[in-house]
Amino acid sequence: MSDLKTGHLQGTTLYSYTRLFHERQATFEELIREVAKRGQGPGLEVIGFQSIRNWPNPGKEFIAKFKDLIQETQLIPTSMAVNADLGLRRDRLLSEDEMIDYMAAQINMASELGFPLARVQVSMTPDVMEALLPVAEKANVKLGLEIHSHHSPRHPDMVAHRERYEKLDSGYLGFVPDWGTTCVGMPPSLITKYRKTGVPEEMITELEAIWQVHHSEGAPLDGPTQGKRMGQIAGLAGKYGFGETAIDYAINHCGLFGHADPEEWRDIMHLVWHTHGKFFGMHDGVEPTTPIPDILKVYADVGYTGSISSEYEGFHWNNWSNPFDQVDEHQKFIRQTMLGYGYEVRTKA
Amino acid sequence: MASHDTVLSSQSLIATANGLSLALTIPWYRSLWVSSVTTVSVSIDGQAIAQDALRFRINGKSFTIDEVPNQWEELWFLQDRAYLDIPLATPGVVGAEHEIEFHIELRLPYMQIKPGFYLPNIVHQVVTLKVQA
Repeated sequence: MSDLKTGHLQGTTLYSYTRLFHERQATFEELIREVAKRGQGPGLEVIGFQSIRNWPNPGKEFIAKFKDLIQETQLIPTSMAVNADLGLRRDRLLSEDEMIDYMAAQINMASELGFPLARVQVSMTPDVMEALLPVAEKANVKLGLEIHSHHSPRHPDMVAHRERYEKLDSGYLGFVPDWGTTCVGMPPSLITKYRKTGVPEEMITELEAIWQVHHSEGAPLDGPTQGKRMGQIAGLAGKYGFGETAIDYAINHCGLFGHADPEEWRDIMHLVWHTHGKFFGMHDGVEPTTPIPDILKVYADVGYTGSISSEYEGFHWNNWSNPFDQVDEHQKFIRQTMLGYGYEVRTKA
Repeated sequence: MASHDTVLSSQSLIATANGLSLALTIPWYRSLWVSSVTTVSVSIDGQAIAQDALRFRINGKSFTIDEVPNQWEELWFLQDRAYLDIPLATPGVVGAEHEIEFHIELRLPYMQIKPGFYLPNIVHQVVTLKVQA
């Protein structure tokens, strides 16, 4: 008789395998079958605007085929990632009513496909989230605002969302933590890529040093701080003759590898049903960039029973590792860590 | 950041009756509205092609570069190719090699950093490609 407690639902997002899909090495259906075959579910997350043609109006045939595939593979839809394309028109922003319609179409399709939650992004204001609440309730789809670097649970924008969600107390508005918010360094595979592409050692040393300075200062809590940091990185890239791609360095360094303390997740866990277990690459069985044991300690302490998608993001620069192997290693490490905290991760439907 | 090495492949340069065409994979991880393309330009063997000569072709439709910003109901699906049609004095010759300098910039319509400014993705590639049939 095991005295282990029941832990979270293991899962993955098709985002982890973006490179295979983007390069047309695998179809949507092939990716889902491979997820099932490898036991990387049962939780399955999909990005509507990535995987599904004519999203959010994919048509009856697609809907029926998707449902059959879920039935056959015994995977469990966890999260449909939707996008708020506020600036899709070049002459003006979408009005609030247009944005609500744009989101409602995606939320309703998430529901029709069997997803219990829609991941939404930071361009949503607390007012728009509140306006979407009736849509979410009617569709029976929870809305999880992703907290992604450079934001963090204690960023004023996120605090404003949390206060609104707590006030509404609907059970439908919450957060999706992205573990890239709480990093402890830059990914070794990115440094490897820099070396492969001829970035000088002096520049790598300076990049890492600046990351550490930003880390000691903590996650930025306002726009000017973030802007200043991005300017520093872009300036450094320019100094070494990479002016053309300076913005890329700035986005990578200030947008992907966040500086918040994992303890901050504790503030919002009562509003979390789904998580992006972001990671950048496993090395010898561990993930050096996202401190998984520290993060999962919070999850264990609160007895989290929602879902976690292993979200591999090293593919942006890493064109040599197999993303399915990466997710295997990540999930193994998570299961072991949770065992150490007295939890058995749910790996079966 | 994302997908810089995938916008052009070894199969991207295609012969057409009045020149060449470049098959493009969207340099981002999700499908985007065509209005998200802010800049696209190309030079062939050191010769810049005039903007008003280029056509951006997708979903069975062909747009001038001036028309691209207005295509906010036209989705560039992640697995689809858009084509940049390049008129030349003579038809493309299959098997010939050309040096292609290609530049594309996107604005990501869901990532407004400050009013009127969106997170960009910028890809600049210089590659030698063999013309495909």
